[in-house]
Amino acid sequence: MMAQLLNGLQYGLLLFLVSSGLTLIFGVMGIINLAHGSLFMIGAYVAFLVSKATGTLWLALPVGVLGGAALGALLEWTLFRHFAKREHLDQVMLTFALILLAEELRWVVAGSDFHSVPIPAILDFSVPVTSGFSYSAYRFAVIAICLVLALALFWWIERTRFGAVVRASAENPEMVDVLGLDARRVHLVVFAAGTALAVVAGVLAAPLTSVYPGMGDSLLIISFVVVVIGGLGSISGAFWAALLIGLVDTFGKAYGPSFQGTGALGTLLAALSGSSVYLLMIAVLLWRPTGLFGQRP
Amino acid sequence: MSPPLIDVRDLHVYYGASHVLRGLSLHVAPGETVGLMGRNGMGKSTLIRTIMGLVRPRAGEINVDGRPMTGRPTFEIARRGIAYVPEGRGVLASLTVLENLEIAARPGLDGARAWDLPRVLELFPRLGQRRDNRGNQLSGGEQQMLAIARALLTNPRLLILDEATEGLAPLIRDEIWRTIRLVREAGIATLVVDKTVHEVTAVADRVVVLVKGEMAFEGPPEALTADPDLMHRHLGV
Ligand SMILES: Nc1ncnc2c1ncn2[C@@H]1O[C@H](COP(=O)(O)OP(=O)(O)O)[C@@H](O)[C@H]1O
Ligand SMILES: [Mg+2]
Repeated sequence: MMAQLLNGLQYGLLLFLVSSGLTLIFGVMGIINLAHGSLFMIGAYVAFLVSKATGTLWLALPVGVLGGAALGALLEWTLFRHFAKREHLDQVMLTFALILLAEELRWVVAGSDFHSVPIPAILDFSVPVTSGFSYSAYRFAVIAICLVLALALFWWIERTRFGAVVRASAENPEMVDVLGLDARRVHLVVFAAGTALAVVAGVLAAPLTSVYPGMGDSLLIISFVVVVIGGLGSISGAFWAALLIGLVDTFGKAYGPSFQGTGALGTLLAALSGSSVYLLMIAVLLWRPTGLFGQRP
Repeated sequence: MSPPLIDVRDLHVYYGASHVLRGLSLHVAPGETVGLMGRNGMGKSTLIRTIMGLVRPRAGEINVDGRPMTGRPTFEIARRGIAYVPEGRGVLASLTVLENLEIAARPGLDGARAWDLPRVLELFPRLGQRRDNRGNQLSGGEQQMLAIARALLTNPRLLILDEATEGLAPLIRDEIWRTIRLVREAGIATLVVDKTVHEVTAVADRVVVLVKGEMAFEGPPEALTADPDLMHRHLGV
């Protein structure tokens, strides 16, 4: 029970790192980046390659942060800014093409096998929590790193002048131009930050999930659920929705199957438990069509 | 003689098939107060939005300080020292009053910060009391004050106000007009769009009346007020 709670929290926080970038980029640029899951995959493969080359995961973190930010800036500068005013279909084509490109790149660099990534030696132990229960130190570290990143992101968006410009760009881009602020710079920085967050999430997740082809796809879909439940463009919405989804998904998968064989209702519950997050999304949208933290129209 | 601050020549603007500005020309000299009038739908807002680069003209040119700016992005035009308070005010609802002000603050083209936070808060003490409120928690009058204060913090050479007093209580309107006079005395050029004829004619150096995207009158305010027929036909007073 305690383990599921911590697993759900840790999964939810990783989801937040991915979905916060997705929701920020959508809020500011109006683009839904389907390749956002591929950025997560790239992070995981960076972890795999770096730890294979150096014997430890640690170097992958700075590489992920800096490389992710550089990659994001490059993508925004060369591609995304030219698509911000194009039709949605063009944007879908662009971001879908990037998914294929990332998979191709992954195949060339690392092939199509599953690879495991070792947990860093100094965190490869269990922390006793209560007398009868202990929990992975690495997972605790992931929770801590994610919380620090989430706090830094909140502070940046909610408390700094640049963050105020980011919120202004999401709300009324025309007014930002009228005030003489260069929206292109805002887009570049937001895209770079969003990319870096997704890549870092991939690095952190690699030892927990192994790395494998298409590993970003399912995460992308869950991240969309998070963004929609939280309210498009809302950072705090994404945070609470990610935690909610992390817990619901973890508990659903852990306890859902145990209803099997307890009558018709039990069988139904067991069958639905794998889809608990989608049921949650439908419920939230029926209750609040713009998401938990979305602007009322 | 220095070139006009803005000089718009032979502007043609279309929305789809409708021809909204028909060969319109307008200039504003440094420090000059120009009143822009005309009934609803005559093209006043469109003219301003075209100057700001928010609407693309099909033909014509826009010069700022004698330099061609047609087709340049809006933020570059704003950076030439042109501040625009749109109809509806453009207050950012998700930002606090203070944030609305802070993101706009910058030195003017001459490098000076004649208008800084203490000065605009002195001008509009209400804003100081509401500094931590979000934009969407303000009354209409407070929003208008915030929009003007924010525009002044960019240390502009030209302040464009589109229907700044519309829908406000009389006391607040008076405060806005007082502010416009103060801005004028500070040597900032203003382009004021408003329907209150007696106020516009009292403050403006020159008045322009638009009818269906064309200039129906241009001259000193006295020449307009001396012509009741013109006032009646084009302004409905
Ligand atoms: N975005 C738009 N799309 C289509 N037509 C518009 C748009 N904005 C204004 N118009 C039309 O253009 C004309 C001029 O409008 P506007 O410039 O707002 O006039 P004013 O500010 O003098 O009231 C009006 O007929 C109006 O209906
Ligand atoms: Mg108008």
